[in-house]
Amino acid sequence: MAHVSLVSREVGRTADGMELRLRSPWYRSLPLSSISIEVRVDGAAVASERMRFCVNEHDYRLDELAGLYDEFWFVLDPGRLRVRGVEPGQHEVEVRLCLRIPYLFDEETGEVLTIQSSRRQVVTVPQKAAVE
Amino acid sequence: MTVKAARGVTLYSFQQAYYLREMSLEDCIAACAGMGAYGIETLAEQMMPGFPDLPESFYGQWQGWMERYGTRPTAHDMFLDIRRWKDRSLTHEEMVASVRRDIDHAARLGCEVIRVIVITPPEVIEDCIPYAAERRVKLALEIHAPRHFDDEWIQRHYATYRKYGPEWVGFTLDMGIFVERFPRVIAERLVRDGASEQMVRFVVESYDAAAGGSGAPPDLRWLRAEVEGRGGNAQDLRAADFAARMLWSDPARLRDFMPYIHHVHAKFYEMTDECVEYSIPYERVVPILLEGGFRGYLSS
Repeated sequence: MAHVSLVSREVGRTADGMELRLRSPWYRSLPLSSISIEVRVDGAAVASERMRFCVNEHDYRLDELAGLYDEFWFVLDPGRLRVRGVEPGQHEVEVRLCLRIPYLFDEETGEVLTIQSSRRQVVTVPQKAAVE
Repeated sequence: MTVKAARGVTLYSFQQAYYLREMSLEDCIAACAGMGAYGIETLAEQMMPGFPDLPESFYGQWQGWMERYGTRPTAHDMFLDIRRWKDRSLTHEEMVASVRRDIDHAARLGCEVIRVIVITPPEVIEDCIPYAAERRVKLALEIHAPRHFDDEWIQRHYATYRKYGPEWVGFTLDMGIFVERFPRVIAERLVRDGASEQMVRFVVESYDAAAGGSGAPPDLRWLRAEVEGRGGNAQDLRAADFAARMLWSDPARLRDFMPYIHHVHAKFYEMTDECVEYSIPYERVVPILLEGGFRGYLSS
């Protein structure tokens, strides 16, 4: 399917960093346990402790996602990825989103199909905080 | 059941417009009614936010749409997230509970059929038959390429179903098991993406020569090595992979299964201006369905 941009061009500023909006690149909702995310800012990998993924009006640490088997990321809802420790101004951001598809797997090996999407773009974190 | 075969749409076909927020669920239903396809098939995980815990108000709204647009719910496309956990598969009991949850949803929508995802084990379906019968929903396992009537998995299911008869269990037939010619639109797309015309022609000719007979479905997995040996590029190899994944099986084989066919995924790759599908011989499949007494929906 045609993808809308994985990462929106609009970037928000939080009290101590930035907020990116991510769309799921899959056609149906998936359990949050299917999601893993890696981010680089200006070429440097961001430690997962510096990020939170906000969806369904909850705010999760990335290491919490693996346990969330019964909560779904709906296809129309952007997930908001908050990254701490990013200064206002221009940055090159690279996001890699990995989705495990829990109903598609190799019958012989049991290996689950994994979809990888990545996006690199230059963003501008506003000087003024627009999100709480 | 309808009194005769009828046309419908699976809203899966609107996935791009829905994803891009160009159409809402209601818009999709209205569009189907607008083109005279009144049977509506849905994927809860795609267009019903909150599933499996949908509020009463959703089902009320759904009934309202069906009345307003004169449409009928046909099938609910069920998923089974067998590998939901990283370290183990769902147990038998968990799978049965998941399918029952889907039966409840289908019954609430008013669907007569559940498209059962093909990975569902026959024993799980068997243990769900009484529950489905109580709620008057038919469990219809999808036969989708590379599977066909005579492969081992489908035969295992069929052996189980025959113990119960076709009233509440059977199959969803995907028309993609009858691809007689390599889809022209896919061949053209591969060339646009960088495949060589010569190599695509070789793949198309190999596919078309192998398809169309009445024996066992041809196996074209050898094509990849052949294309590789001829120095094919990545897109040429994709062409070979397409050919190996598509399937031709003889529509005549459908006759023996007819009472068990409850729903049809009437897909098409390219519907020409003359309303002829370029790759799939609908004109030879639909008569078999009708002669066999099919009274479900052809869902496109």
